Amino acid sequence: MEQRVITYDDTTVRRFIAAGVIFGAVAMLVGAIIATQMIWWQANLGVPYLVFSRLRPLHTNAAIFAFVGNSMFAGIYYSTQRLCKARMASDLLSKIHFWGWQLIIVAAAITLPLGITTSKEYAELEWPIDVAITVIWVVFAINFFWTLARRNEKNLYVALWFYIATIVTIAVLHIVNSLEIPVTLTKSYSIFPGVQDALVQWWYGHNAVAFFLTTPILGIMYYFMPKAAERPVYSYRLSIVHFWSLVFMYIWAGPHHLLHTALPDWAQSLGMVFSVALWAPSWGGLINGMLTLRGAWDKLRTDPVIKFLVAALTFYGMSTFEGPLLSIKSVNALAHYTDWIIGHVHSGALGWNGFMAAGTFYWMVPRLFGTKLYSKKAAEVHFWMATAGIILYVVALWVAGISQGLMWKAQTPDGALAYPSFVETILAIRPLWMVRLTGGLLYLGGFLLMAWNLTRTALAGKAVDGQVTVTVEEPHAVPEPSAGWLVTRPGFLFVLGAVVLSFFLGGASMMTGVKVLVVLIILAEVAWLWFKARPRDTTAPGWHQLVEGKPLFFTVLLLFAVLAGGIAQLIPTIFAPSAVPWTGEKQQPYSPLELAGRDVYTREGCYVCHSQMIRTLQEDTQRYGAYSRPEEFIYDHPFQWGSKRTGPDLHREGGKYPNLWHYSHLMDPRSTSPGSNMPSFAWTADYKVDQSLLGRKMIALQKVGVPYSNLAVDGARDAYRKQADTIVADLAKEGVAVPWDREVVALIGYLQRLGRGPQMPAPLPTAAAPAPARGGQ
Amino acid sequence: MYSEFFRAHHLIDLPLAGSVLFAALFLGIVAWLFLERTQRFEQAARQPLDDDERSVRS
Repeated sequence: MEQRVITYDDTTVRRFIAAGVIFGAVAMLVGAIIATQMIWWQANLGVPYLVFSRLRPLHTNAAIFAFVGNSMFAGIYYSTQRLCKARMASDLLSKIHFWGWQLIIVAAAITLPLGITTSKEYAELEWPIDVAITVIWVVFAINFFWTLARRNEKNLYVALWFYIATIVTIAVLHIVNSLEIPVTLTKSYSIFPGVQDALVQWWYGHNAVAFFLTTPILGIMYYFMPKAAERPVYSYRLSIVHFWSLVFMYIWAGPHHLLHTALPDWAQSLGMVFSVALWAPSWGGLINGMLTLRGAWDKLRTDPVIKFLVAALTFYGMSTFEGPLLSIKSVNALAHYTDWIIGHVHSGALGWNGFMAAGTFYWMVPRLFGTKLYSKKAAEVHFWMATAGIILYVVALWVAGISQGLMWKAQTPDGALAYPSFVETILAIRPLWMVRLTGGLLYLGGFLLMAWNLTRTALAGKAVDGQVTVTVEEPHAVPEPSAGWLVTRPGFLFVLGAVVLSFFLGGASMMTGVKVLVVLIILAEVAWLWFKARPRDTTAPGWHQLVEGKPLFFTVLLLFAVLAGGIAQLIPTIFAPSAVPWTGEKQQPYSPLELAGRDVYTREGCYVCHSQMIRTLQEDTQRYGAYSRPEEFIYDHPFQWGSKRTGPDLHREGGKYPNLWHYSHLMDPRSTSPGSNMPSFAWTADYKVDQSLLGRKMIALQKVGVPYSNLAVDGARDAYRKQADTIVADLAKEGVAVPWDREVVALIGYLQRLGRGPQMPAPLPTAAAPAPARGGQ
Repeated sequence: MYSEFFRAHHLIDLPLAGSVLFAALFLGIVAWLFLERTQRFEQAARQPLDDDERSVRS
């Protein structure tokens, strides 16, 4: 037996904490700015880079990847080293990870206000930054798994399983959702069209919540809660069930973001069922965390760390109850596109993520600087400010969301819409947005107090690193079971057999489901009999214990669990022709002008406030027109369905108003819609469309299946000019002079095309607005 | 190849087979958990608490 002294790399932990605090404050400040703009649109100061629709992606990306990202890396680096009794494998990789991640954040902070965006929510960063994210994530993964390989603890504690799940799943999600065809360094198109793009996006979007905002934080909870309570986790058994069921079920839930849309109904139902089922594992983790405090509840009164961790778990419980509730189709019909969803997201982000970050910072910083927390009183004040802030925020948005949802549905006794003007429904909830802003500012104030408290703590001490002495076993002193031994265990063979059988029997007829079920029952019976009959060796390690000692094997099992849902939902939707129409004989691609207009639409982030998806609900069809159908989106790269209606749906906007209306609306929204909180996009009348890119964009889209002919590509500039001239001439008749090559002309061309595919002839616009030319042929 | 494979399937076959398979696996894990020795879980649960960490200047 050899004694070895291990000194942990806590410098990296200190760096990630500092970055988490700084970027947390920035993310919340940007949130407060855009919350102000919702009430007073003038708060953008007329600067394109500060407009709501460009800043909102900056807020979400900063909150998720900069604040929670840095905070979770701090927790992971701190706890992994201590659970493995090993220093991180490579100081160089730790440095590359830290600085690389901060560079990515800076790149996001520059590009998003510039309007460089893919328009896919929480994945807005353009392809060069996507590549950088992949590289840095791989660096993190290598460093992490290398550390596991060098560990001086035999078993992997449950927290480490959650970290493995995070690393593996985020890699898969990010790569698949970022598959895009580059046009320039700052522009790309998603390879997936319309419906498929929507499914892939929300498979990613929902699981970014699951595997970036939940699983790593649960791992951190499983480490820090026992440390703070000075008690082991309530039930290790429950943690195993919690882990496997959570990682397996979460991945199926993405389609609940697309209920009542053009997504195939079977996928919607599958997403809803798994979302409701998710309530059980989520609360399994909540109960396990809460009961870890058994016998130590008195600490809740005195210890700020415990206070934040318990409140975080409470908010986790609340938001993981609310999430399944919102996934039920009938509830979703009312809540979707409203502020209720924003309230739900913030109870998770501010309550679960924010409080977990604060609790772990208050735990780590005094220890990392060899001193005590500077002010417990300030931490108390922070806690109550933040709690009051969240409650104000969330309750205001619950009321706002439900009110607006009900107003959208409300009918007069003769069946007409009770609130036909969308602006009416916005003005009604404006006071609640003021309450939301107050709550947000209160939370931000508490956060800044924490930043001050942690800074004073750090200044009062000196940076110190943790050190332990470990006893290292002689190599091969204890025989290790081989991978071969593991894969010949009956449990593994049972799973493998079932997979193979379901593969071969799975597709022949309707009876195959029954056959698979019968075979599985027989196999389960055999396995059960073997299990009952086997001689029990009370000293031998259990099967899961052996798996815990094999990180690679553990990761493979995990990969099977997390890929199952994605494969079952994505592959049929993407590859099976019967799932979603791939081609539409009557469909025509966007003309060069419409395509350029669409790019302006995505650059300005119009999807942030306007959906392009009329759901199969009466309140939608009565207000906006015929419901949206899947074939209408086959040339949409990326899809623009949106997730929130701060303005009305635009899918049947084409032909609804003359060109002059659109021009006036974009220059000054209140000139056509009194009371609107939409910002002016007057700069689109100044900016020119880069004509040299038209052909390149069409060629890129050709590669992903949009049927532009080479003739259409060659004639792109002429077709553009011809269609632009009709709009310019129409505007000139109304006394508006605008050059043909300005972005506003292209944007009007795109808006007039919306929902007017040949399969759905919409009424022609008034005489003042001739129908735009169609197609790119 | 993928298209041909999936053309032969009803859309619900794979999700159904996958759901049944993993439900069976889940029930198997739960059954195993409650038959496993308690002592081993108690040891594993103590892992975050078993340290004799000291601090040294960075």
